[in-house]
Amino acid sequence: MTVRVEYTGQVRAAAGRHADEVEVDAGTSLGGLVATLAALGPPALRPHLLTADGRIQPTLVVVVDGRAVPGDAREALVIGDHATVLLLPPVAGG
Amino acid sequence: MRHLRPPVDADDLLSPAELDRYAWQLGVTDLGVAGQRRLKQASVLVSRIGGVGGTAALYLAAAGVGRLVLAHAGSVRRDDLNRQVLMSTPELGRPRIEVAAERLAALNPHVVVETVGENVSEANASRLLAGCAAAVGAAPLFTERLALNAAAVSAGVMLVDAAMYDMEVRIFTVVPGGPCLACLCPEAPPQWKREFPVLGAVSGVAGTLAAVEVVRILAGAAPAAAGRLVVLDVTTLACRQVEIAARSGCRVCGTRVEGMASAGDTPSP
Repeated sequence: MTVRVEYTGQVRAAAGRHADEVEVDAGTSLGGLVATLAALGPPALRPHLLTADGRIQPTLVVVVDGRAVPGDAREALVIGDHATVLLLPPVAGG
Repeated sequence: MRHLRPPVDADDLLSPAELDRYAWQLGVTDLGVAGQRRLKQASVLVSRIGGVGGTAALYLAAAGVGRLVLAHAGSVRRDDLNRQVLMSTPELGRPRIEVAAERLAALNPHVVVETVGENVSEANASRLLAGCAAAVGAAPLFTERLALNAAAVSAGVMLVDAAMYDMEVRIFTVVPGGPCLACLCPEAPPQWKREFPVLGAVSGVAGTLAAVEVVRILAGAAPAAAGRLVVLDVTTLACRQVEIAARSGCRVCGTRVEGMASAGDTPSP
């Protein structure tokens, strides 16, 4: 299935692009998708997405189809076909 | 009639000179004469007066907020000047808050400007917020933003967190009873770097939006970004708005008490 991933902030800078269309297996979880993005992207992208032990960065806001997914639910959340996943790293530029 | 303002007499709160100064904004939606009086009575803390906070402070002063508390350490540097609109080349090396206070006093002598040559921290945030109805968080470090958030939540003060990165602007408003900045970002992200790409016009958009949000809050209108992360991409002008839920077990707002102050209230020092 196809998932659209949109990058913002430093994640966009590290990814080097605004968005990706990613092919993943049906039933892929959000945690699995983010791990796939980290594996496929430039090395600089990984620390923005994942902790050292491979979990989604706790400070990364993940929005699926317009709804922010709470931290305690997002690793296992199963993504639907044609979902749009927005990655919002916190920024503090002043 | 020269201006659009409604007929209004000067009183103890708004002098003839102030009514003349604000004439063009007294007819603005959500403001009006009553809102202008509320602005005059209000105090606002601005955490850092750089590209974002300096722009916010400039417009808050122009709008007639009665008292501004500016917190920012350090002196004017040449590489500030692409974005810090309160500063200027002849002021290189001078304390930023001194320069800002002079600039704002020249713009609007009816505004009381208090300056603090420190950045916001856990040690001083509550003290700096004393008497304020709202605050603008515009620091380049999350430790400062989170310290201000904790103090604002504790005191029941509205907080407009304004930030930018590259060509993105973000606004998030913390209101009593709603999700706080720690719900959105529970800790300082290890990936955040103090130096970030910034075009002054973009940080100015963030500061301007923050000023609009604060003015409306002080005037009694509902905050536009309460509990909502607003993300503006200035390359396309696409604007996303993401509802942020209170984080279960948030260490800042999860234990707060009921009965917090609303905009316009002034918590006891």
